[in-house]
Amino acid sequence: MKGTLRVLSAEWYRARHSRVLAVGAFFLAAVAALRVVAAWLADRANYAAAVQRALSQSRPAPPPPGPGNAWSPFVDGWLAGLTVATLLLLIASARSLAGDREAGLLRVARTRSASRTALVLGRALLGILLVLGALAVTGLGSFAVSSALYVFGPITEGGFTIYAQDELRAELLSALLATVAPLLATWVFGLCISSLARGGTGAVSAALAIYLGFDLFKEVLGPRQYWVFAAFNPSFVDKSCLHEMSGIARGMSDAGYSQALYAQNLWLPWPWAAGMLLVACLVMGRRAL
Amino acid sequence: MPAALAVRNLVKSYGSVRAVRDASFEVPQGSICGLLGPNGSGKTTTLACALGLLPFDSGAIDVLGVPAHRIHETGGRVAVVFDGATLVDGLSCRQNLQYARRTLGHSGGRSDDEALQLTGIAELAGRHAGGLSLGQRRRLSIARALIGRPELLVLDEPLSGLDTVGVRAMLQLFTRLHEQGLTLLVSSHRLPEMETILTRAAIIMGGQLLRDASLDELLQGQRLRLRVRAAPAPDAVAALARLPGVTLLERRPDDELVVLPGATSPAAVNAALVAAGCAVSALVPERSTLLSVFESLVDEQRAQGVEVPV
Repeated sequence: MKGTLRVLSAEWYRARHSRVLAVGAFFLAAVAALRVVAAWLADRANYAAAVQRALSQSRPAPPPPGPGNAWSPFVDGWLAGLTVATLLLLIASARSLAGDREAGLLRVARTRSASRTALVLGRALLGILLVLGALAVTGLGSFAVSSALYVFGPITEGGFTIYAQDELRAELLSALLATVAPLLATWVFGLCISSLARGGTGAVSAALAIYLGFDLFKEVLGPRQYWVFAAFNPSFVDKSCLHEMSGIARGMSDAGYSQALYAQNLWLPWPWAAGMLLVACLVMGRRAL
Repeated sequence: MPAALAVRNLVKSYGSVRAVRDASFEVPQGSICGLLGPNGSGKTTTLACALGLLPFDSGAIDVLGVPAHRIHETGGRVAVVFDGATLVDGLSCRQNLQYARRTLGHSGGRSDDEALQLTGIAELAGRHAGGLSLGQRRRLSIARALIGRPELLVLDEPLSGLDTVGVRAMLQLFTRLHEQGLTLLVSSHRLPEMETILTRAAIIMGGQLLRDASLDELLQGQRLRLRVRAAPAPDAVAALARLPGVTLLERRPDDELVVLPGATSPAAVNAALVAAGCAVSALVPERSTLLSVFESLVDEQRAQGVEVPV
């Protein structure tokens, strides 16, 4: 266990000091913020089009819209940031073992004080920090710009409150909780591919090809896609719980996972992660470093 | 005193290719031991097995009293400098040491500043490793190995790619580290340079360990060789062939002959050549060196039909 923590400490040190972490965090926050800005600009463009239409028909221009509810752009911004974060996490984890093996860094750590298992487990634990960090920076980026351009309030329609703020917060918390486990499983998936690959570039290519391939073709599997952890991730063909939360923030009453699917989202990624971690440990236990 | 590293009957194969065949050698504590051999002789494979980086077929390896596959339990008492770039290019020199220290798990022993100073790169502490020259990178790798309390320092081809000045500085550094009580195991094919610092050598060729002895024993056991220039060369060759116990090892393109005189003295060889009507322009007894020991071993291997890469 000590060896694992030492590897975690070393990897965290490297991440903090090699600028990759700072650049990555800034990039993710920017993606989330830009998604909110894009939504705001689209609202302005719609209003300008409406004014132009009214004037061309010699009607009085509609009154300018209010600031609008922040919940929908906030969740969409967060979702966009996490979609990119998922890919970055996958790239980082896939490069991790294979790239360090290629660079000889695993050999150095192995001969000084880290067991082969610790080399894998330390990097797996680093994933927890990075996943939580990604959730935080994307959330903050989206929240900062949403609060500046919009106003947070209950979701109403025709004066009737569909979702109160407390309900929205609770839904968002549930959706975030459901996002953590698949993201961690994605990190471990990257490590597993990394342990099997010959080099860093090959590992990243293979991990992305498998992950994006599944994302593109998961629809073909129908409900069976939810037996794969990746189906619960924010992605380009999004089926995640946070995506459903985006529907809720728009006031759609039919949005949201069923209770059974939500429960599956919470437990299914863990056995996947455990299995892939075991494979990575077994492979690294036998490979030449 | 137990050996710092003990390899016993090591066998390692890659598929049908036997890379190391029944190799046994020891690195006594306090020695500078060379693992010497030509490229592809099995040095790096032997080291990788000894350091727990490569599973092996059979044999036993102890590193500071711990089996090789549990080398991490030595708690940083073994440090290795690998051939090639094993640094984090995105970190500065000092940060590379800090990174390694975190893996090591303790802050005791030799400090980062001491390690940088000892290797002569203290002024580069803030520079990114990616921007260093080959020699500077090698020094940083050694500095990283020196942090903490290493007792055994293993270096794989530490002189490769270095210029003359760099080689000299590196050899001086090894000697200094040895004087500070470190045991060194150096894998190299640069025999003349290594001879100046080694106290012991293990010579490996074609995956087979041919010698493991102190440098004195190796050089004493070496048979004298003669370099002979005599014209006409065919007559000289014929005269040498008639001498009992004399072996012609090589006839070089410039007609220089390399001879193993056996029990025959150089003077007797000279007399025989003169008696055969040859004009002897040179007859040089070769001083026994690590290189000549190595060349003899190559000759012996070739005589036994073993293919030795040039």
